[in-house]
Amino acid sequence: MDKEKLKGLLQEKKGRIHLISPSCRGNIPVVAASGESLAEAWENAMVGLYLHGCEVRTQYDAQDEKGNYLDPPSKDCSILISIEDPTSEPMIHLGGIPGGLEDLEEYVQEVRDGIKDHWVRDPLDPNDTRWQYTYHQRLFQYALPLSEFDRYLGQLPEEEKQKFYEKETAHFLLDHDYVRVVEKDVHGKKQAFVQINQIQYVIDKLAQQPFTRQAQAITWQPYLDTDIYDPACLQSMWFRILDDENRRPTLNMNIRFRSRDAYDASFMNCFAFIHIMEYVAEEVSKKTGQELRIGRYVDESDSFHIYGKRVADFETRFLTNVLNREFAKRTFSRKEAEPFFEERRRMLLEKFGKS
Amino acid sequence: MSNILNDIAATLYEGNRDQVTVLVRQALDQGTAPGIILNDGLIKGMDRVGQGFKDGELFVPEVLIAARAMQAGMDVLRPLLTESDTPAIGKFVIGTVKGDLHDIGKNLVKMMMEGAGFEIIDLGADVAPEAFVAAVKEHKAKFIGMSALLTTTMPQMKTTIEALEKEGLRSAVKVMVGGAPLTSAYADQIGADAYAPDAATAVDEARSLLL
Repeated sequence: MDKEKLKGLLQEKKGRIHLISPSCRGNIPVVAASGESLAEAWENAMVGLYLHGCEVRTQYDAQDEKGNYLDPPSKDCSILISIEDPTSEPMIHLGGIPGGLEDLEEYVQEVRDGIKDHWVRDPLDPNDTRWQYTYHQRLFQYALPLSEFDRYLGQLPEEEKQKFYEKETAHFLLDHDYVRVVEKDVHGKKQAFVQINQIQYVIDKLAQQPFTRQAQAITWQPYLDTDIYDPACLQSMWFRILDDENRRPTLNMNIRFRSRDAYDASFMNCFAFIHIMEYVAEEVSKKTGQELRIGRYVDESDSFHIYGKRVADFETRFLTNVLNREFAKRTFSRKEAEPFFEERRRMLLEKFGKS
Repeated sequence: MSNILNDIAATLYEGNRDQVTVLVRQALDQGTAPGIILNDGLIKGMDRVGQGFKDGELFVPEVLIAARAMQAGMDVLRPLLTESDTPAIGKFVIGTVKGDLHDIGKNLVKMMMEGAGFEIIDLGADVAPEAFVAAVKEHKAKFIGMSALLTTTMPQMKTTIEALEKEGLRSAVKVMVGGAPLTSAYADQIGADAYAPDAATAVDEARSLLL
């Protein structure tokens, strides 16, 4: 890439891309990027990663039979992306979608509505190669085996439970509306599991206690994820409400990823999570009777990377477009994309019976 | 190439579906043969899109937007095309291999192949080797395109090639493979005829296999 042009680009984006901590002495660089809209902030994050990221090998780099690497190393950094007005337009960056605009709609429905939860494999079937999890499943149906402890507490009479409530010594998992018990057949025996709808918990918690710092949902299941090939990259979602200067409640959202394919996945992730943010705001508004505004969205990744085999494409396509093409030409608004979304909604309705 | 055919190609490159439809109708009204509109307007336009993608000018969604414009033009032309108008490029069976439910890349290749004039038989995602074999037999396809996004499902490509061999179909069909974890070396190793790292290259590879 033309270094002068890149310097000019960094100058142009001054104030929006920061190197917080450089790559040296074995330290992963730390970058912060911001923007008013999703498209702007994401683009700044990509430029920040490219310019300040370090070079790292991953297990996915192709090697020849002698073990020599065929792909260049990945670009990597830890990053914090801050989007000031996440639903402002243009939301969509064409450089962040490895498919069509309509695939964004499908991904939103996958993450927010769970249209592909039935694609999660049966862990007891070694020949089942379907997905190991979906984000929707982990967020909306976080599953754990039902313990005897919770079953016992759940069966206590109300007056007994009251004693525990007063002392706050036990948590009655089964008493919450966002928890449900399902039974599965495990080798001919019925095993009970609890499914926790963490997003419903977040909505309930924010509606009851707007200033709470406990409104979060996680995906990690240590007893599963330490031993699978491709464990969940998204780790947590955290929400908090603050009043704006006109005393209007405003929803803030923080996301954390352990690992992130910056070029081919992170934009679509952000797009879907902002839809979850909108969903949470709508549901809390319904519960409280007061409009909850959408506030800033912060997205952190421990390892934000462009895979080595994708660096050349990033340079020739993404950077060339950023350097030579107007911002308006490389972005889309949700309104402009709506005909594509609508077409896919109809298709999904036919395929999955819901949309 | 006449002005209107140039305009069709240029409008298709911009992805303006409605305008492509208008221009195709206009060209027909002017007496241009449907086969000429297809080859020198729509397919030329998609060729430019493919080149623009390879040169890094276009992002992936823009290729698909252009392909939709191509489809809109084809919807007007299709009832008017005779067999001699249609380029006899061949039938292309495409699918994501067994156990793999990812289909974004496969759909992109499908759209580009259609834009280049291939007749596509899309088997969808999670396609068993037997289903590929059956489709080749049924449609007398010249090509199979297999996609995989996972290292765990890539071996299904080899299984499918073996299934074709077993059925005595291997020499009758060209096998193309692609997907994020694949390499050219892997394609060679499993006995595929071509590897395409992206959709535009897939069209080039398919065309070169025809020669």
